[in-house]
Amino acid sequence: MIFALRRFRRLRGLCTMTEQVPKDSISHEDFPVLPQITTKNRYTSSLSKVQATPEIEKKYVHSVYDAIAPHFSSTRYAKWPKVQTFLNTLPTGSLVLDAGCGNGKYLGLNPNCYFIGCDISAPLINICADKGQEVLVADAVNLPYRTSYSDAAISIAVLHHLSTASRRKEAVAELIRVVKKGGLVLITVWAREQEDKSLITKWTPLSSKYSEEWIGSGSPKTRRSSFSLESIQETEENVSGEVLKDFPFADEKITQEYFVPWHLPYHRVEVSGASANAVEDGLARKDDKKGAVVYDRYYHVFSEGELERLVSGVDGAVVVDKFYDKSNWCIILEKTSS
Amino acid sequence: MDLKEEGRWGEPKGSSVSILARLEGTEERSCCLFNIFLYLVGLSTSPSAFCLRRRPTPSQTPIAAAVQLHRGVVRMRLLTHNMLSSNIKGVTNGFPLLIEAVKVVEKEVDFNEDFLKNMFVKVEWKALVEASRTLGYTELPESAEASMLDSDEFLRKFHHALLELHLEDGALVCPETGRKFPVSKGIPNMLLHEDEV
Repeated sequence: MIFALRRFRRLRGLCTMTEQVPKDSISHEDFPVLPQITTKNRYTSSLSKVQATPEIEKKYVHSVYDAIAPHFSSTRYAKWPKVQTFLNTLPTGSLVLDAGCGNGKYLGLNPNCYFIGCDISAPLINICADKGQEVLVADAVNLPYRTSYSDAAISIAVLHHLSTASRRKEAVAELIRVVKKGGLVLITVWAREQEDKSLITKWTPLSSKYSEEWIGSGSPKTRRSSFSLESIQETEENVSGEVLKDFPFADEKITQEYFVPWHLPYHRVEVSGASANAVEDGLARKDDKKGAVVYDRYYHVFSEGELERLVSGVDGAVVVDKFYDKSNWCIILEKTSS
Repeated sequence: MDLKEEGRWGEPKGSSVSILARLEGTEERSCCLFNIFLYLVGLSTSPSAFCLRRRPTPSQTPIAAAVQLHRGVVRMRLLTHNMLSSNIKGVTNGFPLLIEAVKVVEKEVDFNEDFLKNMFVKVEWKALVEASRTLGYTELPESAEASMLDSDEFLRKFHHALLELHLEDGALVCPETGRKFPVSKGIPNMLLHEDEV
């Protein structure tokens, strides 16, 4: 019992370490809003219906957040001062949209504003709803809001889960579209330039991972590999200007594509259910040493200046502030067109 | 388990038999028997004081669900409806979404005049009027202008329609295509299918 507790504490520590960012989100796809996240064929049934989201996001972002939602949520409570400041300076009666709200920790932060959160992960949205927040299930790349209507929009730790530059750009365009002229948009993303350099060593660069699967010894996991190839293909096609940067097989030194582990302690596995099936499906693996089921989450970490370049490609907004904070690149935009 | 029973849950006055009758799981039952034993031999002041498992949450019973409304669980409000739009590819005007109401609930919300006045300029009035009528509330005037904000009566009605009427179950329907976005437990699912993007 004591050992188990110790192990659990270590694990918690590890999770926090790997997850220095207080919140990330964006997840899941088209399946009815159900609180349960258990059934095995959910991955496949939901995947088949969804829009043209790359498989790598469906499998290594959406499905993972669905599976880890309760545990993830229990670790996401610290609020970033910079995000807090941004929200608290909004005038009374502001309508604020949180696109990719995760467990909804920023919703309602300023009691004088009206918040609506959305996330693609229905299990995360259910957690928000249980807390009494106004939320809906939606995709950050295609927001279901009227054009030029809200006063502010935030995208906190979301864009790095989108696997192509065109999708990241589309998500920025959506944020700008939904705010009114003069409205503000706050975007934060994980930086490749991490304050804690050792952190990156705990991540798996996509290049080596896939190389290993393709040319390494042992039987390659065909399914996973084919997923990666498809998404790479799309990356190459869509991002003419940034092929090298976005190309997961590119030289490891400049790679920005990573799998970042999420350790779901065994005792949480029982609570959340889905993991046994996830292991069976190859979505997660067991690590008996750490006493946890390990999920890989896909990240595209942003290099210095990349977020600015990305938003400069979207018309109708200007940068009013940009900063680096706690290993994140952050930017505040103001919409200039109506 | 009904509300009255829940109210006296854990108090010695509740008869052991009725408590047992309300428990479904055998684990809870044996746990409860042990508690009753302790209670009878005088080691405990309550027949359920040592229950290891938490008692069922109110949401598990239909009667208790009504109580939840007063505890602050939010459903989809019409202010949210006023912001939503069908974003299906090719749809030129996806606003306002039509409402198919299966279950509507009302929840009392703190009245905030400043907030309402700020919202008034943003809200598409006609859409709000139609939406509130669909949910069974017919008190809003057909049209409204800023001068009406001086009337307390008007503000109360506006407040009620905007924030206190909640769609719990039903659907939002795209005005152009008829595509239904389900609303379940107050949560709209606005995700699009592959051929709609």
